[in-house]
Amino acid sequence: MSKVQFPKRKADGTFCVEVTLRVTTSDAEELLRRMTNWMNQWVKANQVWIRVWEPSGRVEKLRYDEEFKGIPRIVFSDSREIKIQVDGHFSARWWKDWLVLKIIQELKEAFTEIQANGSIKDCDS
Amino acid sequence: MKYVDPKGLDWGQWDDENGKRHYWYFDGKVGSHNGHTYAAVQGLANGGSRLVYDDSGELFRIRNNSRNYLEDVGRWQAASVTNPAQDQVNQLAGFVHGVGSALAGFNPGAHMLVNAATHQIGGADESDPGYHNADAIGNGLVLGAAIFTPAPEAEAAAEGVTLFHGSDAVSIDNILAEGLNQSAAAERGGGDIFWTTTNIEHAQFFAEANPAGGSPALLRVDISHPALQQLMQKGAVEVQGTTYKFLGSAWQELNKLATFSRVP
Repeated sequence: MSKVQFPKRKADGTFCVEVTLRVTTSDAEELLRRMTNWMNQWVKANQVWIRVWEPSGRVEKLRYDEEFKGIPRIVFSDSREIKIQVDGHFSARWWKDWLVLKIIQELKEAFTEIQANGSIKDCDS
Repeated sequence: MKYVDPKGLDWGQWDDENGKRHYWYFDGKVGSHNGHTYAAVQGLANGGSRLVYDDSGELFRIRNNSRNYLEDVGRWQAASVTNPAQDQVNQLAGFVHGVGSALAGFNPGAHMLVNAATHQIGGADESDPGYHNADAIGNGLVLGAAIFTPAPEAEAAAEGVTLFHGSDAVSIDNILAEGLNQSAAAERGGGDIFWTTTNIEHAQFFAEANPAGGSPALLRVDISHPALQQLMQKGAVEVQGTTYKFLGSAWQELNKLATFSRVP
């Protein structure tokens, strides 16, 4: 039996996680539209993530589509929070790095409305 | 007035026959230096930086940014300086060029920039255009209003590095009680790499996403620069941006070298 409790795996080994971010906006609809556009463009432009590890200079090439089944989708938004869900492959290994160090990090840099990291959980919990 | 370098200076690297990597800061595009063909250092685009260390074990961060192309991040040696002004005078003797002379009035650790820029990192000689290029940059920095003046975080860095590890509360308690242990980590769904970051928000997120599904908790790891350097030289730790990963082979040593505490 796997000791990994999170994320919860489906029968085929895939999983879905939901990230909640706290935001402040007076126009949730507009924020939703801009974030959705950003997400679509970001995934197209960031299919490959190259990490250079020091001091060896070792190059690590990570591919988005090896971790995730599709583009992150915003499933809820209002003036105080947004919820983003993303589906992971059964073989996903670096999905947390992608989510924390790339997607959310760059989302926060692009949208000043995001106030802080919220939480992460399984989509169906 | 800020200094803006119009030439687009870039770091290059070349590996000698012994596998030793040499770095050189080029005047313009990366090319040849001293008969060796250098390749552009990867990862420096868009504000990126890399950690390198010289023959004396000093750690430096390099950037393709003329304003802070070389930053001494391993200045623990400077911590023992009791009379910075006199120390600079002694150590700068014979090294008076743009960078050193420009910074000596601002930064007690400035002499290390001089040493690194002219000897260990670049191996410069005064006939080389790069030397004069560095000279110009140094003088430019003077006009740039003390960009290398020690910032509070730089002073803190002289003491060491503070890292954060996010996990479940039971795992954090185990580390605090027993130290890092690979079999214990495996029991909680962890791997054979101890991941840490200087960014506490990132660590908080990893804590939330802990594989054991337990209550999230944060561990603080304080490690001195010499200890970190020791592990890096053994290839037991790798750094990328804010992420520091310690391979399993480093754990026992890390238990001895680092101080662990729980973030309230």
